[in-house]
Order: sequence, then structure tokens, then C-alpha cells
Amino acid sequence: MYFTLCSIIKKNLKIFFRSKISSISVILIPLVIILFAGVAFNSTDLSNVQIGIHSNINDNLEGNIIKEFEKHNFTIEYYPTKEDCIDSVKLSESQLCVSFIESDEIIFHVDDSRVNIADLLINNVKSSANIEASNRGGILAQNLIDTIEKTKRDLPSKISNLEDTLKLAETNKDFLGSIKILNTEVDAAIKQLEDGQETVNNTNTKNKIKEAVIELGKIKSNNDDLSSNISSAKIKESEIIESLKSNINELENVVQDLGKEGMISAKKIISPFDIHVQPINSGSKKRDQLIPSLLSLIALFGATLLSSTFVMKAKKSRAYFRNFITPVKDITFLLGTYFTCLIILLIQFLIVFGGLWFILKINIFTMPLELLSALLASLTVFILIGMFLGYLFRSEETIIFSSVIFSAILMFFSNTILPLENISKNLMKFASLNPLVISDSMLKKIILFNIGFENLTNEFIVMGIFSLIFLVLTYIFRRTTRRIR
Amino acid sequence: MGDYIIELKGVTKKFGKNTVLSSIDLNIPEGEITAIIGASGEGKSTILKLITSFYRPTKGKIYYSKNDIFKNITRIKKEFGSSIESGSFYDALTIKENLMYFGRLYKVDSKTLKKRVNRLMHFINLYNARNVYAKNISLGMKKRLDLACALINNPKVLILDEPTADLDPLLRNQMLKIVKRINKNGTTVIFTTQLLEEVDEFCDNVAILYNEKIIEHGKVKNIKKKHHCSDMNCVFEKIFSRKGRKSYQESIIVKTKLETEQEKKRLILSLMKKKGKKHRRNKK
Repeated sequence: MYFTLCSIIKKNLKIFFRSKISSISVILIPLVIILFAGVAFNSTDLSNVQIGIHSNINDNLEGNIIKEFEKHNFTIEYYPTKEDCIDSVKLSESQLCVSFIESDEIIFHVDDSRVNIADLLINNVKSSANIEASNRGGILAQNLIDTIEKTKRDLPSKISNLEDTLKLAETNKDFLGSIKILNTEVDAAIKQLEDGQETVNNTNTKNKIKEAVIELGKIKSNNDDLSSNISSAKIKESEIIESLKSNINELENVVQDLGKEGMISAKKIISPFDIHVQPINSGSKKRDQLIPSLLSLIALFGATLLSSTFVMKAKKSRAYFRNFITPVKDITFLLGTYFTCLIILLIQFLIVFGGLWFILKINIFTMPLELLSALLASLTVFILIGMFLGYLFRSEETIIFSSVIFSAILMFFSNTILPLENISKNLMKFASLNPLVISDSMLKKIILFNIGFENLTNEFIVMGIFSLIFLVLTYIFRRTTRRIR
Repeated sequence: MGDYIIELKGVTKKFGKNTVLSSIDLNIPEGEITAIIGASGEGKSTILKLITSFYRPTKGKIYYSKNDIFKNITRIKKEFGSSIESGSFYDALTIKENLMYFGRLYKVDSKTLKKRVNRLMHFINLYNARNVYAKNISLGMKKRLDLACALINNPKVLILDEPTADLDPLLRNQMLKIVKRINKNGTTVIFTTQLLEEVDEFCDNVAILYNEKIIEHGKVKNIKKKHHCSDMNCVFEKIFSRKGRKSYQESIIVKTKLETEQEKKRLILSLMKKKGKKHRRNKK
């Protein structure tokens, strides 16, 4: 079988490479794609973004935010009305419209049909606006802090005043006692005067004494009123004193707290805790993050189209009959096609890796064994899918069309266009078994995060099962669709 | 069952609802040349593809050396050589590469294969063009290349589907001489043709296919004797006129409406020749 298999592969490769234009294009197109992508995404920022601005306010808020936008090299275009600004987004002239409605309100208008860029753009622009919002918040917070600081400085003297008042109130407590003593003395004087009145015979004197008693009675009555007033005042005074005491305590606590380190900080007030987003592949450019997905896509489209074309050409070849009548097993022909495609695709990837290394200076071979194994697993599944489609359909058009459609479906239900998390839960279960998703995930783990075999076991098992399923299906369809009827 | 290497017993072949062969019986003697003759679309190629196990009969059995061929497919594949009308080889390979490739599929060892390929290339007169791509060679060379591919495994049975179709008389004659030489080595040859002259000159046996059935089959000389004819043209005339059918040539014209212009012309010329002979005979 080995001898025959080698002959089939050798023959396939000869035929493939003799068609110079097709072989060159099959091998070099992925290199061109990856080089273009590498050059195009060779940055960490967004570029060529135009932001439409519409403003109703005359405030330096707008100017400051725009300055932040310009730091990101965003182009700024002013529009007289909000509608014009929004229309510029609809007409794809601007990627985003920023509308300054009032001094404290900014609205972003974004074309969310461009799902892949909308979030990225909003995040980027928001971060610019947030810088200005933080600046303004900082000023307000600083004013607040200054007021608190002044209060902190003034409080001790105020407390001192309160304490003086308290002392005064305490001294007033004794005044009531003095009045009572005075009343007793007044009573004694009245009694003495009444006693003296009886001993005095002079009517005039008597009358004078009587008048004096009446006056003293009035004084006593006034003293009693005063005493009663002072008593009620005393009760209230006690309450006030208690309240003053507790207020003083609280003020002292406040003064103590204000004195604590770090309490009075504008930054702390605006943002009580620090949030740092630290990308786990920090420092890598967009192209570096794109490489695993690009490699998976090249593997998918390259393998399915190449293998389905190989099968189609074999079926349509005038030599198909002679191959059939030779004593060679079907599985040998299948393996022949599989290995031929694998060799061509490995050559293709070797050139792509060479391009990455020599032209873009990207080294993805930090884990060569894992990378090669993941690539082999992915290529095997995709080649067998293409071969299956090649045997499933009869006409050339249908085979090519089905390969493209099948690859497009795999691509659509992967993270390439939209994150998988956007799709429904039920569909997500199936989508997570998508060979492209698994291939992408494996290559990402290996290339970006240097994850080894021990954490890739599940992916390899699933890819192995897929390979087996498609090998069996291809074998069955080769037997049933060949012309033994 | 007599001394026949291949026997078809009640074989019916349908493609969907279309019946191509209906309950045919055919015996192929070992070591002889058997021609299957019939108009285009009558099922000649279908019979050959049934014998090579490429098609499976809808009904009936096919035996090779008294064994059901579908129970001995590997043996059939090893011992049969086959050539189809359109040729079955790779255009993008050279003559030598084609022969080497198919030889390897028959698991012929390298040394033997090289010798055999060289011998075959000399035998079919393609040695000088051995490094020319198959797509660039002439029709006659393509026919010979296909024949050489069919011979690469030293087959016991050689099946040829219209090996002389589209060839000029000189090339046709050359091709038939090669076939005769192969047969002289003991190889059983089964081939299809539309030309009665080929049957007369080169065949031991003939089977005449008409309307899904074999209407006559046996030794050529016996059939001629049976119909008191000296050639197959006469046999055909008698068979078709006696049975009240359209003449063989007329039926060919009807059947070949969709065939290539070249083939049509050839058949019309043949018909005109036939009518001319008839006309002369009537004059006499």
C-alpha cells in the first residue's frame, strides 16, 4: 500500500505543479493575504477615523475633548446641525458623530450595523471624553475639598466659641439661686417691715412702710416670675448644653477624620478605587492578534477548496476509469488525495511562516511542536470536509459552490465576524464545536499564550473525532457515488 | 457452461428508468477475439463496463472462469486490461509517466516495470514520444497509449471499447494488427466496433446488439455460413431484412443523431457505399 500510495501522491503532485499558474496562485495567495494583513494592521490604534462634531455650547469642554480626539489622530469634521452630523455617519463620511447638547451632556451617534468597529470606536472615543470628564470632576471635587479644608481650619475656633458659650450658660445656672436668696431676703425684709409697722405709730411712717412692703411684694412677685422663667430657661438650657456637647464631640470627630491621610484627595473622590485593564497579550499589535485567526481561515478555505477541487478533477479525469479498474483499494486513493493536499498546504504554510519571519519579523514558533500538531489537526479536518463535499456532489459548479458556502457557514458561526457570545445559547453549543472555532482557539492558545499540549487535549480529541467522521463519510460517498450502480 | 472465459447470464442493466440491456446472454471463448457490434447507444460500452465490474448489473450474473465477478473483483482487476473509447490516462503526464504510474498501481516491481514500459512503448511505436505530454499527442497515439496502459499488467483478458473509432484507415489497420499480435500471445480480446469490416478481418466471434438484446452471437465463420454470406455486410442485410427491422445502417443513422460530425460523416459514407453497391447489383 505504501508503494502505491507514494505513486498516487507523486502523480498528484506532478499534475498539480505542472499547472504553473494554479500552483503558484494556490501557494502564494495565502502569503500575499498574510503580508497585506500584517502591513495593514501593523499598529495598536485605530486610524483613518473621522469624527463628526455638532455643538450647541460655547464651552471649552468641546475644545478639550476634541484635543483628546486629535491625540488619537482622529480627523474632526464640524457639522452645523445634529441631523447633518448623524447623516454623515449614515453616509459613511464619519465613523461617529459627537453631539454636545449642553455643557454637561454629550451624545455619541454610532452606526451599530458596523458591529465590529462600533464598540471599539465608542470605547476609544469615550476614553477621550472621559479624560475631560475626569478633569472637570477633579475641579469640582477640589472645590469641595477646599471648602472642607476651610471648615476644618475654622472648626476649632468655632468649637472654642461654643465652649465659651457653654461656660457662660453654666455660670447662668447659679443666677437662679441668687434670685431665690434675694426673695428670702425680700421676705425677711417684708416681715421686718410689717413687724416694724406695728411698732410705729406715726401714720405717715406707717403708710411709708406699707408702701415699702407693697413695693417689696411687687419685687418678690417679679422675682418669682423671673425665677419661674429662669427655671424653664434652665431646663431648655440643659438641653441646649447637651446638644452643644454632642455637636462639639461630632465636630471634633470630623476634624479628626479630615486630618486623616488620603481622605482629602480629589482623585479619591472621583474614583474611589483604581481600575486597570491589562490585556493579557499586552504590547502585541493588532496583526499579531490576527495571525491565529488568519491562519485558521487560510487553512479552512485553502484545504476545503483544494481538496474538493482535487476530488472533482479526479472524478472528471479521463483516467478515473483506469484508476478504478486497477487493483487499488478506495482507501488508498482517498489517502493519496489527503496526503497530496496536506503536502501542498504544508508547503503553503511553510511559505507563509517564512513571510511572517523574514518580512514581518514575527516569530510564531515559540511552541513549534504544538503549532505543527494544531495545524495538522486543522488541515486534516478541513481537507476531509472538502473531499467529502467533492464526493457528495457531481457537478464542478456545485462542488466549488458547496465548498465556499460550507466554509462561509463555518466562518459565520465563529468569532471571525461576531463574537460567538452574541448568538443564542442553544446555537452556541453547536458553534463551539465548529472546527474553525476549535482551530482558531488552538492556534490562539499556542501562538498568543504559549499554552502546551496539556491544555489542548479536548481540542485535539474533538478534531480527531471530526477527522474520523469525515473520513468515514468520504469513504462511503466515494463508494456510493462512483459508477457501480 | 462450456469453455468460456466470460459468461453473461440474463444480464439486464437499467440506468434509472432507462433500460439499456435486457436479459442478455453472452459467452466469450478464451484466447479468441470477440467483437460486440451495434449502433451507438445500443449498450456496447455498457457490456464492457459490466464485464470489468465498473457497473453492476440490475439483474443477472456475470462469470469469469466460472466465478461471479463481483465476488472476485480483485482478481478481475488484476487479470483484466481495459481501454475505453475516450482513453483513460492523465493528459498532464508524459506517455512514459502514464505507463509507469498505472504499472505501479498494479504493483509491478520497479525493475520489471521499467522493462515492460520500454517494451510496450516500442511495441505500440510510442518510444520516440515517451517524454511528450499525453495532451500533446495525436489521436492515433492516444489510442495506442490507452492500449499500452491496458496492457501494463499483462492481462489475460483485454477489453477494448471502439479502439479504432475516429482513426483513419491506415491507423485503424495498424491498431488492429497490434490487437491481433496481442491475441496471438494468448490474450482473450473483447472489443466493440461499428465497422463490419473489422469483424470480417480480425474477429473470431461476434455478438450483434440491437434493441437492448443480443440478436445473434457465435463464431464469425459459422454465422456467415448460417446466413450463406461471404461477409458480415451480407449477414446484416439478411438479418435486418428478414426480421422486418430497419436496416442496421439506417438504425445507426437514427441512433447517432447526437454523435460527432466526424462519426456521422463516416457512417453516412458507409451507408452511401452500401446503397451504391445495392444499386449496382440491381442494375446487373
